[in-house]
Amino acid sequence: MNPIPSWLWTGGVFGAATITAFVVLQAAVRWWYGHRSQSAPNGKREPTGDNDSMSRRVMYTLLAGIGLVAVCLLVKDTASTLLSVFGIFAVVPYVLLQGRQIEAQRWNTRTSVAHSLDEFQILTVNRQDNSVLDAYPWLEQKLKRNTIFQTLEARFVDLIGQGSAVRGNRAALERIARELNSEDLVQFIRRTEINSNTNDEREIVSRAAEDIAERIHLDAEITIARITGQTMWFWITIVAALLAAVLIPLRVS
Amino acid sequence: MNASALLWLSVISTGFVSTLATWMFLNKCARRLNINHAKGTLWVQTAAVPTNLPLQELMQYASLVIGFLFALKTVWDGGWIFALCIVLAGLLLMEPVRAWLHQRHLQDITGVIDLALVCMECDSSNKTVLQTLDEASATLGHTEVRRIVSEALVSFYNGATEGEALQRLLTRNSNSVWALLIWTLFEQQQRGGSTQLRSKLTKLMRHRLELHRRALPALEVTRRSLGLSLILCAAMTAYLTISPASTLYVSSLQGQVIGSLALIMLAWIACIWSAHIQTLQRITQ
Repeated sequence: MNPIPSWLWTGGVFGAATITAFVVLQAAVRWWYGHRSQSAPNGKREPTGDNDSMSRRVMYTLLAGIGLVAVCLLVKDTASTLLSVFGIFAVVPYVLLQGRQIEAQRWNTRTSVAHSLDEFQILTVNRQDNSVLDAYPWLEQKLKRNTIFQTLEARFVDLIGQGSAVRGNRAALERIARELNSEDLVQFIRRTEINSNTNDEREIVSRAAEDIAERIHLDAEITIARITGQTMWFWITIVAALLAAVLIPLRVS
Repeated sequence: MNASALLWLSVISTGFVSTLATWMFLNKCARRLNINHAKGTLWVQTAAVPTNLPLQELMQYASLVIGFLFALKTVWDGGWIFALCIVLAGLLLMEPVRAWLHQRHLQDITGVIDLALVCMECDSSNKTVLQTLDEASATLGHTEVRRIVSEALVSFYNGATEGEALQRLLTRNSNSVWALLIWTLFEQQQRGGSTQLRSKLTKLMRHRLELHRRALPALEVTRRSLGLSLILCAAMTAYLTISPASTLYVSSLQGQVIGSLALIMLAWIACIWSAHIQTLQRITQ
């Protein structure tokens, strides 16, 4: 009988290790979620944000482990084995990527807020009534479709229905704005509550909308400039990686 | 370090990488799974029906398929760690490929903003909204805007009311500038031309135009960078796996780790660019 090839043996052990690692990881995560939901008050499920942070922690641990092993393999035959500890910095690229993805999601909300504030400004100019929007309900639907204010309103009505908030309660509105992860909305709500010399509510809302929209506009410009700047650095990194990949075999040979 | 320790180190590291890849893959699958739909389908006799899968939908999985092919070649040569990193890179690149495919045609709303600015300069108090849009688009001469307004006019001449024609226009063009413009024109028509309203919309449109003009070049550069980085990822994988230099990268553990690091770095940059594209896309909406 022919002996089993070494690569097949390695593959078999690898497969077993993979399945074991995955099952253990899944079991640990499931146990953790179960533990957290049992210890939570009222036995309610944890909010999505906590689950996300839990997944992130699992990813951090995995990446730190992978980084340690990778650097250990690189320096194993040298005297600098202690350099392996730098492998934990493999987490940094992942954190950066997560930050960019969260930023992309946040801009979805910010753009929605900015558009809604533009509409507020037009509304406040029409001092008499909203007869046009009443006459053309489809236009109002188009303007308000999928906007953050619709979500805010729906959640507020929901809270009033539950008895957790009363109409016109600023704190409840701010709480919902924070749930929606919109600092702009929080600022807007606060600005509309200012007791200024002007008693005209429309004027106050118009100014608040203008200021917050302007702030979003400026932040957008800063983000665009930052993205343009980063693109240059990324290209330098790509060229360095390509050159290294090409030059290493030449140098070895 | 003896051979047994090396083998175990290799097994543990591949186990980690593979766990990560499996985790990500299952996460992707779970996000795509519509449990309610699946439950409903199971009770219907025609559960297996032919579905139309457009090429663009399948293209999203190109990086994964290419990754598997190269990984097979690397496994054949005995480079398990590198093979798993190639699969991982393929998984990481699925999202950038999707973002790149969906962003191939840039949505330029400059024409609509220009139309709004021209409309605000026209005297629209004694005209219908469609008349104002027709005159302004003729003055502007923008091909795409002219086509959209002409479609609304044709719909109106074919018997639809002005409201119905404009509603169809908004349904086909869902960007917020059209809705804001039509709303303002209705207001102008009712109130006999309000200077305050006109100046407010002009100011808002100028702001949007400024932002759009700044964001568009950045979006274009990022889109091209992402496309090039995807091509470079494929080229580098081919170089590391099937070129004569592949023996260096596959035969030793260090070679496999260096190749994996280079590849994952490219994939990571592509992922960052894909997130940037989404950010810029939302800013320009």
